[in-house]
Amino acid sequence: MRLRSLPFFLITSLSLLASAPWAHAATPPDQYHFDSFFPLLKFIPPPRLKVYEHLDQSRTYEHTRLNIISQVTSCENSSDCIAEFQHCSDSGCGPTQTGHGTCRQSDPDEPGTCEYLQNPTCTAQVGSTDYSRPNEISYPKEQNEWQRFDYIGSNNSISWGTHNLALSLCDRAELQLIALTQANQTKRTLDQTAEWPLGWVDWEYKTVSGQTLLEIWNHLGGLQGIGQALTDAHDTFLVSGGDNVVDVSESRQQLCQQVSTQIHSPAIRALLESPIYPPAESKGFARCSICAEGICLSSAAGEALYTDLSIRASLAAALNDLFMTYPLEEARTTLQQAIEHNPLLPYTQIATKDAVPSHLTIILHPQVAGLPEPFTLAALGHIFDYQELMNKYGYKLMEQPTAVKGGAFVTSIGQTLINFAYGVVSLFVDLSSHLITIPEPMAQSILELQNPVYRTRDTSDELQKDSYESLSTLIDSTRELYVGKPLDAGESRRRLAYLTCQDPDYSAPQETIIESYALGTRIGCNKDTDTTTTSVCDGQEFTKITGDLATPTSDKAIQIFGSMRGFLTPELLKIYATAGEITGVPCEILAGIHYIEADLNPTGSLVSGRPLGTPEPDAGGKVFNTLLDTAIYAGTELKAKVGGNLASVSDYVTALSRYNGGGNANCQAGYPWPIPYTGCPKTDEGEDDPYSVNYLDARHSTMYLLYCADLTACEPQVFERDGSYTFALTMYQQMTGVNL
Amino acid sequence: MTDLSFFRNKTVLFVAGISLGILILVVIFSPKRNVSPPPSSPPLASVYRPELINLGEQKRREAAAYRTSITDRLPIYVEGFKTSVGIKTTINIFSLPSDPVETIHFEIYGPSYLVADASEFTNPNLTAFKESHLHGLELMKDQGIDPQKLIFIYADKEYVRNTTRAWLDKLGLAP
Repeated sequence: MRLRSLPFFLITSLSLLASAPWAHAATPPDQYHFDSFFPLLKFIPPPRLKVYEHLDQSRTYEHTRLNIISQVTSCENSSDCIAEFQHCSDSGCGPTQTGHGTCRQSDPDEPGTCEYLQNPTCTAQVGSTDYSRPNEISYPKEQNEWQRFDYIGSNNSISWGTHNLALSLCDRAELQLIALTQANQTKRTLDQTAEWPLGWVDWEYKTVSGQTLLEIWNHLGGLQGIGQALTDAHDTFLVSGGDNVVDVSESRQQLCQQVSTQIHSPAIRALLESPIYPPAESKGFARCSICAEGICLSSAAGEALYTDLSIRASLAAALNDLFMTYPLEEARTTLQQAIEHNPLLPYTQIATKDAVPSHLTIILHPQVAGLPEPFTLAALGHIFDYQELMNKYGYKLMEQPTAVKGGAFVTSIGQTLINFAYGVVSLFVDLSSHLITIPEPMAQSILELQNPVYRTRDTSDELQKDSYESLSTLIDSTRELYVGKPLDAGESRRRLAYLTCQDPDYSAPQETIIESYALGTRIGCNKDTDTTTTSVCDGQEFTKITGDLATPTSDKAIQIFGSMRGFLTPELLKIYATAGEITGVPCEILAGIHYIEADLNPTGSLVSGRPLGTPEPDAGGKVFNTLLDTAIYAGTELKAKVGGNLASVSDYVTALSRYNGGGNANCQAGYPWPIPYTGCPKTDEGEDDPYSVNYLDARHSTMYLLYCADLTACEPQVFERDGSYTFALTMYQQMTGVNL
Repeated sequence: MTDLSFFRNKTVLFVAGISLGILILVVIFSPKRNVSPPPSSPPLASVYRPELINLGEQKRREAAAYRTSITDRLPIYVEGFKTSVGIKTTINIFSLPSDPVETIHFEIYGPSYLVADASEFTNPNLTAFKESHLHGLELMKDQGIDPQKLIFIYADKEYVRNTTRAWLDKLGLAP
C-alpha cells in the first residue's frame, strides 16, 4: 500500500479548497453585516445616529380604555361575528374600528360563541435603489451619485462625469490607483484576518474591458508600490482628520511620468479604465416591530438589510469634492466635525487591518455607557421601541420623513422580505407598529460632507433650511417611495434648480457639441427657446376647430383674460406654438391649460402647475425639466383622451375635462353634497366641468369646484376662474380680433 | 514503461475517490461568487411610475415585449357604453410613445372618481366603472389581447388613480 500517496491527495484536496475561487465572495455575506458591522454603530454618539421611522412615530403607550360599541357574542343563529370598538384615553377616543371574529363551537349541543382574536403582522419588501445607472433617469449626472463624477460617457468628452472633466489625467490616475490598491488591500485583509475592513472594495468589480480590479492590480508592476504610498498617505490623512499631510509629491510625479510615457501599455490602459472611486455594495438595516398594549416584539423575521450600491464611491467622491471646493483649513474643519459626529467615518474609506471590526472595537469607545452587549439590531431596535429607553441613552428618531419620489431605479439586487408575526392576541388590543431604517456608517455622514459643496450653489432662501434631512428612505408604508437615502431627491432638485449652464456639473445627459457647450446653448440649458421651429401662435390652428368660435365669451372671461394677457410673453407663445406644431393641438388650448394649471407661470408645468424639475404625481411621478416638455405632454395626452380625434369644440371640451380627471363635473351622480349648478343635464361630457368651460357664457356663469387640493371631494365652492377652453377661446378672439 | 500498478492499489483508489467526492461536494455547495453587475446594457425605462415600482425586471421585460407585440391593435376606443346605472362611459385603451415601454393606458371616462365610496349600494359610479372595466377586458380579448400580460395605467391624475385602485381592490379585479 502506498500510504505515502495519502498525504498527496489530502494536501491536493485541501489546497484546492483553500484557493478555490469560490472560497471568498467579493462582498461580505449578509450575516456579517448584522454580526460584525452593525455593532460598530455603538461608536456613533446616540443623538447623531440617524434612524428613520416609517410607520408610527409615537413612542408613548398611553394606557387606553376599551370601549366596545357593539359585539356579537353568540353565533347560534348566524356565523357573522362582528364587533365595533374604540380605544379611549383621557384625551378622547380614537376612531371606531370594526373587527371580525370566528365562531367557535366547543360542544355540538351548545350554541357557538364568537371569538375575537388576531395575529398582527408587519410585512415590508425591503428594496434597494440604484443610483449608479447612467441611463434612463432624468439627469444621470445629478441623480447618479458616483457616476456624476465618474461617468465615462461617449467619445464626446463633454458627456462625461464632472471629475472626469475637471481632473487632469494624472489626478484621475492617482484616484484610480488608490481604488485598485484598496481592492487588493481588501482581499489581503480578508485573507489575513478573516475580517472585512469597513472600507472594503469589491475586488471582483469588472471594468468595461472585462478585467476585475484585482486582475488589473496584479499587472501594475512598479505602480503597486506607488499605489501603496498614495493609499497610506490617504489613510493617514483621513484618520487624523486632515491634520497629518504626508508628502507624496515624489510618488505622484513617478505615477504621472509613467502614465504619460506608457499610456499605450496594457497596464496603464487598464489603470485608466478603472473607476476613480471604489465600488462596493454596502448594506443598511431595517427592522419591524409590533407593539400590543405597549409591549413591543420583533424577531429575526422582522429584520432585513437593504443594499446601497453607490454609497462607497459617493462618499469617496464627496470627500474629494469637499477638498477641491474649499481651502484646506476649511475643508479640514468640516471633516473633523463629521468625524466627531461619526467616529467610524475615516475607517469607511480604509481597507487595511486598521479598519476591521475587531481593531475598531479596540481603538474606538462607545459614546455612552451601559449600551446592551452584544449591540445588535435587535438590541438597538428594542431601545427604539420605547421612549424611556431612547431618552436613557440619548437616541432620537429623525424627523418624520416626507415621501418624495426620486428618479433612480428600484433594483432587485438584495431585495428581502420582512414578515414578522406577533402571535395570537385579542382583537381588542391597542396595536401600533414600528418600521425603522438605520443607514450604514457611510450614509450616516454623506449629507454632512456633501452639503458644504451644495451650499455654494444655494440661494439665500435655501441656506436657511435643510429640508433634505426629512426626506424618506427606502421603506414606506405606501410602497410608492423609492428614494434611496436622504438628500438624493433634494440633491437633484438643488442641482437642477441652481446650476447654470456654465457650470460643468450641469451638463446635459445627451451628447452635445463643443460649440453648444461654449455658447451655453446645450440641450437642457436653453431648450425652451433653442428650437428650430418657426411656428407662431397666431390663431391659424384654432380656426380649424369646428363649432362656434365666434360668439364672444362672457364679460368675466374677457376681464380675466385681460388681467393675464401681460403674462403671455413671446417666449411662452413660442413654446405653445412649438408644442402645438409637434402635437397638433392649437397653441391657445395649451395656453388655456397652462393658465388653469399654473397661472401662466413659466416655471410651472402644464401637468399640474408644479415647479419644473419636480416629480409629477399626475404623470406617475415623471420629472419634466422644461416647460416645452410639459406642453408636449399636455398636447399628446389631450389627443389621446379622445382617441386621437380632436376636431370640434365638443371634442376639446370633453378632452380637457378628461385631462383633469373629470371629477369636477357639476352634473355627476352620487356626490356627497348637493351641487347647486343649474345647467344640468349636460349636453356632452365635459360641458358641465368648470375646468373646461367656466365663464364661457351665461349657462356656465356659476359653476362649482368639487375637487379639493387634498385629493378628496369637498363641499361645492363657486369656481372663480376661467375654464381652460374658455381661456383659449377668449385668447383666440382677443388676439385675432375676431368678433371684437 | 510506466508502472500503473500504483493506480490499482485499493488504498490509492479509495483516497482518490474520497478526494474527488469532497471536490464535487465543494463545487455543488459553494456559494456563488457575488460579483458586482458588469456595466449594463441599456436597462428598461425608468420605474418612476408607481405601477412598475414593485415589479421585478423579468416581469417588466415580459410586459414590454408583449406590449410591443399588440401595439398595432390599439387604440381601442368605445364611446357611449351604457351601464346599468344610467351612466354612459367611454372606454379608452391606448399607448403613448412617452410612456414606459411596459405599460398600456386603460382609462374609463364618465364615472366620477372623486366620489370614491367603494360600495355599489351607494355609489353608482363604482357600478359604472365595474361594468365598463369588464367590458374593456372583453374588448381586449376580442382583439386577441391577453390583459393578464399587460401592466395598466388606469389614469394620469393621482386622485383618479387612487380611486381606481381602491375600486379594483374592492371588486376583486386588481391584477
